[in-house]
Amino acid sequence: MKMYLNSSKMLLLTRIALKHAFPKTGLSSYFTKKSTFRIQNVYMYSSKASSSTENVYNNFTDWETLSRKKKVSKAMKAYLERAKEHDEFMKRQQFEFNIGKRHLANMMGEDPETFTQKDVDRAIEYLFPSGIYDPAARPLMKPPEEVFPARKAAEFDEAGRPHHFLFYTGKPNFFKLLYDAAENIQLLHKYEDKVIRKKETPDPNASLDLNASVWLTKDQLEQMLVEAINDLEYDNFKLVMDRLVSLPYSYRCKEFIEKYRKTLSTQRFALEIPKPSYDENGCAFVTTYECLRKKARGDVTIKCPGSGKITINGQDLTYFEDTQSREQVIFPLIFTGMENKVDVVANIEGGGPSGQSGAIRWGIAWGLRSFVDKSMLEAMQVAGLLTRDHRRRERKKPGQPGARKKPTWKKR
Amino acid sequence: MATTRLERIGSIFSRTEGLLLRGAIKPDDRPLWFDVYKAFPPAVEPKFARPKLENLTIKPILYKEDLIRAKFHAKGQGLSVNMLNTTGETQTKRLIQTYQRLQSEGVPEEELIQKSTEAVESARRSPADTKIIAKNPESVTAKVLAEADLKNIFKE
Amino acid sequence: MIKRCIAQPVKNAMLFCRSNSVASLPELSEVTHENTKALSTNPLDHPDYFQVHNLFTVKDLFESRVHYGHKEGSLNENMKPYIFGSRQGHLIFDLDITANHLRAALNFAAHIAYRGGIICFFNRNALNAHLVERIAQECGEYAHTRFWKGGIFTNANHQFGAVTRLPDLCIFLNTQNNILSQHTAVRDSAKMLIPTIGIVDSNCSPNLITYPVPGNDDTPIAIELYCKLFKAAIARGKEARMKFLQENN
Repeated sequence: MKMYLNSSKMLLLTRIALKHAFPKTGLSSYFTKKSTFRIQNVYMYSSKASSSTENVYNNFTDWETLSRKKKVSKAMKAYLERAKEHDEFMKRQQFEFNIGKRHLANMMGEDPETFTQKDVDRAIEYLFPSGIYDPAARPLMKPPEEVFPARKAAEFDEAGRPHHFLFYTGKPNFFKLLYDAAENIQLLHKYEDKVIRKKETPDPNASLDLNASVWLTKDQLEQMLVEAINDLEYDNFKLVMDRLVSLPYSYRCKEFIEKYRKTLSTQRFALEIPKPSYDENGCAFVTTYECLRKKARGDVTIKCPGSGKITINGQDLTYFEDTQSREQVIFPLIFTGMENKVDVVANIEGGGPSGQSGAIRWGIAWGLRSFVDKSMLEAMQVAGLLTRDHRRRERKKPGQPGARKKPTWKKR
Repeated sequence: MATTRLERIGSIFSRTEGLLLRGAIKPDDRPLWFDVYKAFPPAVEPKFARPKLENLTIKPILYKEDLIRAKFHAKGQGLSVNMLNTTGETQTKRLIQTYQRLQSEGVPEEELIQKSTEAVESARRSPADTKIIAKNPESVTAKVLAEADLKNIFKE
Repeated sequence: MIKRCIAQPVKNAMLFCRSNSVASLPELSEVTHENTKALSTNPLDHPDYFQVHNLFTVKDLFESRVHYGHKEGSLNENMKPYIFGSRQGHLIFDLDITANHLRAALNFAAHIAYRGGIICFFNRNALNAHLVERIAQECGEYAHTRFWKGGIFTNANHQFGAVTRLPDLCIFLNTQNNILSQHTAVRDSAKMLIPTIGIVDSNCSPNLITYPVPGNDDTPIAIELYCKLFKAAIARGKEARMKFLQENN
């Protein structure tokens, strides 16, 4: 058995050797015949055969010599090619954009040299008026670098070695984040051990306050990492960060934690509250413009030392005939307990009574912010007084009598 | 690369060699590891298919002192191990050493177990023995052990 | 856990019978003298150009608990030649064999690092994953200790969206995905002609691993030792590489 194996192997090697010696002759057919002569031949050639394989190896250039030549890896070559292609494409697009801009300027009768992007947008809006709801679907003309997304830079060097040590995971930035979190957890554990060994207690004042912020959402995290992650990975992220935060000395890596948290904007309106102005009588007043609700629009002025007088378009509260609208108007005043402390002057137009009263209600509430304290402000926020109602009339649909109403339908 | 992806045929070296010898890849484009493998081939060629090793048996590891160990273990002695102790000195080892010493001193067979147990117990009670000396004096473990009062470790 | 419980009694017994083993220590003195001369020649002609044999001793392996295998029932047939014996149902590796295999693996890793190869560390054990990633970063090499998305090697150009250079050496600090199945990267490396070094425990198959190292692949202290050794070997390879590049520029 062994003998047979040996001889067949030698035969193979002989073939290779002969192929090298006479590459174009049909020697292989010669070997297909079975004969004892062949076996003998194999033995005759055997020494030559093995040396031939050796020859192949001896002809190899050794690695040291090869590496002296500067070789660019296939990966880099492909990247450079793509980058070149992309550059050319962008150049072409830029050229076309510039030509288009000049045409547009001529059409609009302006000087092409001083035609800015703002002018372009205006011209496009004028020449191609569009009622499409989604702004992204409307016609536009922007410089190409804004239209075509930026390409990822090469993630490897000229030898093809990736820059990131977790490159082969496919999501290096995300897994680096997990790695960093684990590293921080280990550091905190070590620190805690050290403190325990020194028999000290944690400083209660240095704890981390996370009430005013939440973890980044999946979309935000994806945007930050420039990588798509799935739900499981996002859960893992939250799990590991929660673990980190739960440690007693987590304030030591505050910087790392806060990078992945977003502050809640609950106190936003506190910053924007306008200071009341004063008229010639020394009376404080705040005017809220653009009080909108449905199709009604107007402005509301609140004067602070007042007697509870309400003026709507020159009339008093009886401007509204129905009680519901009247209630709407006085609700913010009653809610804040200011019904006898301020005067209200409102100018309102458009829409019907419910729209107008809603607009005034919002205007009064918005203006009252300047005259109430912080806790009342929060109560108003919770009561929904400071929330704009953006609902508009829904259009009628063809084939049915109203926006939602359907014709009467009877099965049989 | 122009290679077959059937990983169960031959080894990575034999497949690469085939490509090289037949000119499917140029010698200068050969994989970086090829020369290293050729110079230092592994002890066993990493083929998937290998002959069965049925005649190889796993021998049990037994020692002479296992007999003594079994005697102690049957009495419930020396079963616990102090994991903090890194010197390799377990209670069983001490028991066995004492047993052998007493045996050479000519203590009768039936009293050996009891006497060696007593000897080790009394040695354990002496305070000099409670301190564990770690092998590496600079290590964190050593520092912790030096400070720790092991006798009262659960009393706060 | 079972492995650790048996640790101490077996350890003591083993110390007596095995500490005299020096078989895995090659002739140190000769090689070191030769080393200065050999620097100018081809590193491949030298049996141990990077001196990896002095990185560890069998005693180091023993103290890192490399010799603990799993229980007898989970033994892989192909691991039989590397087993020293069974101590009350627990398999014990022959550390002399392990040391030889580990030295061959370290030598190979050092040579690959010398040639500027990409080395990727693998480990699917969550307990040791962080350590492995950290070592990979310290080496300036790569790590993959996460879920293996199929096709990272076999369909790389599509997975990474561009032509990608694959690793030149994969080091598996454990070759199992879970206790039941082998890591897919072992198979994929063999498919893509990538050599592999793998720590194979008694329940793993060494067949597709180019340089298998029989040994304990679960205990953190053992993994720490392997990481330390591979890091040192790679560092030596890279040092020689820097020297080589400086001489040629």
